[in-house]
Amino acid sequence: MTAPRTFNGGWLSEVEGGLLLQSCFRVNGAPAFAPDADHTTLSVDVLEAWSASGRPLELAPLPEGLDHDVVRTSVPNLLEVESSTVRLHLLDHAVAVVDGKAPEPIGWSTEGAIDLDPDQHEGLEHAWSLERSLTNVSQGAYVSDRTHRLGMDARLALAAQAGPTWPPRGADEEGHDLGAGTHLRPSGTVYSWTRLIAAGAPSEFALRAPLLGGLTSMVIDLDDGPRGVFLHADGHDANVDIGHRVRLVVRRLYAQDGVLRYGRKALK
Amino acid sequence: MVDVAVVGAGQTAFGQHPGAMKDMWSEAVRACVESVDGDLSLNEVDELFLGSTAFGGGQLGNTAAYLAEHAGMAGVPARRVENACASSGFALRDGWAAIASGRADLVVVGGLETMNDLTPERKRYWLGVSGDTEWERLAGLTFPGTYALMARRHAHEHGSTHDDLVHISVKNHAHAVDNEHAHLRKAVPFEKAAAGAMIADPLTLYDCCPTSDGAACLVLASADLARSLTDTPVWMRGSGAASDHLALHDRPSLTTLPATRKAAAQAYAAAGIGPKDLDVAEVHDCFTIAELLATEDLGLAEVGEGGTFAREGRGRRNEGRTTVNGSGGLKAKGHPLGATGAGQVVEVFKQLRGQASARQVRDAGWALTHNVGGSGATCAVHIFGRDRA
Repeated sequence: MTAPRTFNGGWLSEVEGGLLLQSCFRVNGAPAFAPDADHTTLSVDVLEAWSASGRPLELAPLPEGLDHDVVRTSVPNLLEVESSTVRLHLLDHAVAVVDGKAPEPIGWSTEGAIDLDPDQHEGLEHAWSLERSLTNVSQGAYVSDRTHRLGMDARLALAAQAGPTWPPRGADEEGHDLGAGTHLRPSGTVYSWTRLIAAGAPSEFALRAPLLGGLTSMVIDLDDGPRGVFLHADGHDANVDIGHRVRLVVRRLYAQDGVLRYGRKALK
Repeated sequence: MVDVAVVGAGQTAFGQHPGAMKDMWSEAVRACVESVDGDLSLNEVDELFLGSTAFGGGQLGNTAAYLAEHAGMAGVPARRVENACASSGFALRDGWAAIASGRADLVVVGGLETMNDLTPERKRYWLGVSGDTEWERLAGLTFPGTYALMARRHAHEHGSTHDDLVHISVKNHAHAVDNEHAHLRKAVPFEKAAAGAMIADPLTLYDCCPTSDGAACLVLASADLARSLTDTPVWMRGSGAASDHLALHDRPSLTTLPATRKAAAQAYAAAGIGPKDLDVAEVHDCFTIAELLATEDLGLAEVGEGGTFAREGRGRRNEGRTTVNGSGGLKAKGHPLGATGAGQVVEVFKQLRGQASARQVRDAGWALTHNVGGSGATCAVHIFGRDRA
């Protein structure tokens, strides 16, 4: 196993036959997920690393234990083939894509680990649990399941229309369909930013924002043209400024009607 | 087109109102009718346009019919106009158009909002419903956040500072002291405002307007009818309106509101005046940065000079060329969403008739109201004059 390097906020190592991505978060010395991460987000991250390394995105069908729709939408070039010997493995707060057996044991890094406050971590876990309960139904502003699903390609894979136009529009100034475009690269530059105190956060974040100490939001000029607004990924250093470069990674956004919803967040 | 005049204007105090929405509206209607010099019968009203976001959902459907019934206008064609915080600015435009087109002679325009009869949890659900729900809201933004993004970008591009914003807050609080209808009727020292608790960096508590209850009501009349109702009508000399991208990230710039510029250009052209002619400007300062941007977009300050305009106190009552938010503005008079635009006109009505008492602007002959919805997705600008064209 090679020494880990940082990729999408995790530790990425070359292992025999593939790649291993570990969470860099710790609670009381034990591995933990970032406050908005899980096996689904780590899987997207490792598949993006796999693709960035030039390897073909042709894997055996995805394993149980993660949100298949989110992974498939976030990694649109992913091809699942029954006969493939390359598999995604879900490990203890880590994931691996390897051709062959899953890496064992994992050599956990400690240098540069991000320690989470145990009470905060427990509080966030509880908040996610409450947020995912069906009794937690938003009022006022509300993104329906249909609207959310129709927007997943744009939200997770940054699918743009011709132009490029993003987020998608129903018609151009001549009243015509804009037509399909490409997927935008998940990288850009901070155009403006703010840090909102917990009390001012939208109700979708009401349970977690106090534990996170507020929310950092940014307007990002994407490298492929359009501008978007994104949260900063939870748990990482959110000291950003205009002109900083960021990468957009898939993380949990919030939960509604019992379902976790994911989107892209910015990471320095 | 038919010339249109405001012949009556009244409002409740803005702030924590003890009554229900129907009580507030009725109170504003009574105050408005009392302000009409001649005899007015509400059953002669041709149309009622009522601006409200129906905050809290207490009477979300058929709001206008419900409120017309409670204030002596049952049977009058009534509808709710909803454009977020610019709801009654657009209701005013609809009322003006109804008369200017010759379709109506007597119109009531109103606005109201009840914001403080909700639990904190329920209020949180409703604050921000007028922003871009699918993208901005799910990126953690409510309006303090969107305006904070504008403030930071303006500072980056033009060198404005938070102290410039504090000057706006201090000015508007000072103006509100003389306004019996103001929500926050107290002066705030510069040092205190500068040290406010952070809300959305760089905006602090003193950069943000309060959430207010309130209602305001106007009576508009055609020129012929106006003369039978008063000797001192306030003439509507220009109306402009525009919309823009709902979400900030779709706009080319965060340091200007194109909807304001478009609406103002229409209103100035119709009135045949420019910003240098204005004596009174009631602008939409939901956050101090919003007033800074408005002074630039309305032409009161050069582009990029809004900070200097504020720092030099050019908007202070009877000190600069144009008094900006002499009522206290949204910042201190209060911001009951749907009532705000109509409330601005109540102030202008008094100023142009010389009835503003301690806050009277000297020789006020021209006035402007600027009412913005959301972070600039909608905007209505109106210009009023003492004289008919």
